[in-house]
Amino acid sequence: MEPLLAVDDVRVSFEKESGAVAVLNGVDLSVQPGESIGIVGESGAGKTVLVRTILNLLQEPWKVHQGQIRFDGEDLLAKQEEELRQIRGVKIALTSPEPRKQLNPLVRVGEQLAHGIRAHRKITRKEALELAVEALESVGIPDPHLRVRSYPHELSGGMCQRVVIAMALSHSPKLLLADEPTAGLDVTIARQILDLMAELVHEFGSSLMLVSRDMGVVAHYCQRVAVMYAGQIVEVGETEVFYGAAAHPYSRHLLRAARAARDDRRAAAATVEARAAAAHGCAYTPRCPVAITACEQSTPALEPVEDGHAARCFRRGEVARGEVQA
Amino acid sequence: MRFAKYAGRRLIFLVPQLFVVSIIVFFLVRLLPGDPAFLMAGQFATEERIEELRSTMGLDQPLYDQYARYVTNVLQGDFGHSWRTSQPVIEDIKQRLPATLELVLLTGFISVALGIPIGIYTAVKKRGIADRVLFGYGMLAGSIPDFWLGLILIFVFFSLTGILPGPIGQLDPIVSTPPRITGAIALDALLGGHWEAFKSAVLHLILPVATLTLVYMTLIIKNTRTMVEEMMNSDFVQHARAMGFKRSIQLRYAVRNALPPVVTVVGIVFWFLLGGAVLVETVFAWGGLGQYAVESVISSDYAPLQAFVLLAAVFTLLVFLLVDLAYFVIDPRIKT
Repeated sequence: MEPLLAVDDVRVSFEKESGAVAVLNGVDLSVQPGESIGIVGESGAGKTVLVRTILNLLQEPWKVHQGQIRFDGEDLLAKQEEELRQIRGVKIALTSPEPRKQLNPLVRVGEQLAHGIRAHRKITRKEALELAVEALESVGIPDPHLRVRSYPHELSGGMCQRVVIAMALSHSPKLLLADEPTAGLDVTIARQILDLMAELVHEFGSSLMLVSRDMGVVAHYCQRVAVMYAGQIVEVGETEVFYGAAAHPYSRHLLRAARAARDDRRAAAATVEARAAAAHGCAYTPRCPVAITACEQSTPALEPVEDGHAARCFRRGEVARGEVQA
Repeated sequence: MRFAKYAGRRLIFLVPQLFVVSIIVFFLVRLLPGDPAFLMAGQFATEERIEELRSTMGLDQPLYDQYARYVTNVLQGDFGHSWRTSQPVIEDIKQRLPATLELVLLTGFISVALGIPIGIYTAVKKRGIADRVLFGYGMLAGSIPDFWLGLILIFVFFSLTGILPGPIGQLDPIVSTPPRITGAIALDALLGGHWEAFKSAVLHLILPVATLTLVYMTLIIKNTRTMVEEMMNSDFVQHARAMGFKRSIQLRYAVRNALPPVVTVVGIVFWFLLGGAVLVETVFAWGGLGQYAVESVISSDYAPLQAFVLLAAVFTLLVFLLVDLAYFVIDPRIKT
């Protein structure tokens, strides 16, 4: 099947006066129509930059050096702002962490939803406002006809995220990029938001790319998992396979940390370490418990472990089978 | 309703503020060098004559007595007499205030009407020619004193080319002053249909208004530009962009949110303008309140000086009250 989205060897850097900092170092990823894929990895791995690159949102000082992003038969990185405007919000939609910051503080939420609707449909303001009420209703906001008149500061964080989701789904996009949709929300609200999102995405037949640092969330909501480390996808596979037989030492580390966090909250704090910038070889080498000489000399490619499961590791077979303690 | 309550409360606050200003002004004015009795009596007056004057002027009384009398009089609407013009200060002010307001308000409105759109334009069209021109202008305007620019403009447009009238006040001497309605000559001429006078008044307005506008508009341009640029990069405008909002709506979101700080700067500009008018009026022999204040300082004329500073304080406080009220209207997050 032709993938809905194909990210091919995308390289992005942050241009500083003192030199460029590479943030995405050749990302390869594909998303099938209707599938849910989770992107996991620690802060700074490049997850959010990847999401913004897919929408071709990056502006100076960011620079896309190389690579191609094909979506629904179109080359997104080759498009001009006005052409992109016809895709953003219509075919690909976005939700971001800190939902309150994504909404204009001086404009009523109904008005903002209406702006989003009228950006892509030729209808009157009044009709758009009626659709806004329906949109709020569909994301489970009580008294939607009253709530359209609320300002963002009058809504809770969870409610704001529902508004952002309503906006994202108002044109039934083919792909929803959900960047840490539950960051900053408390656990019960987070569950509700994710359930709602999953349900609506399913209803529209959209694909979902769920960026999260929560391994449990990804396991629950996604059919496939991609692990990002230092600007690369280091492992990708079916959720069940991944959780059973992760083939990259970093994935193992994440899974262990998630388990430890459940057992002992303090353990999670120990996972963040300084990342050495490896000029050659695998970026994870300095932290890897099973690194061999080859790891320092050349970068492993994203190679299959088995069908549909691939990892960027020379010892992926051994790690996946649990023959070495990674 | 909430708005009216808020505005009312803020107006009540003006009273203690003005009271404090009156104390400070009263004592500061008396710190000025120069003995008013001596200046009044003239160089060749005898010691007894000066003493006599000092007593009629009330200057031999203890300071707190002088202040008490001053406040009592002011509360009854009596701001004293000018020793120099020997007129009631209130009459002098009534006569001169419209000319100054004409200058300040006209400059203020032009600066806002031009400065905000220019600021928005340069925020959107970064690195255009307009942006470079404005950068140079901003640097210049920030470093040139207003009275000096006034002199340069007079030199170029009057002395060299003769395009515009010289610094001789608000009207050509041969044109008769239109009947007083508001006191602002250009406006009176317009209202009364005196076209000759209107034309002359407008021509006389050009240079002083241009001087003040060139110097102070840059604050509005720079601030608008910075704020709009910042808001274009804000999370919510970038989110609107990510959701494919129309470019015009993205810009509207940015401008709307840039407005509160810009309004503050507009307030500050009006406040600066009053100070700027003092010197520019002197350069152009405008005959307004600013020139009156300068002359009062030179001759240690206490009463008009006190009245001027008090009036300037009222003007400033009202401007900032308007700024706060504008915030209240713009930003729904502000509750009383």
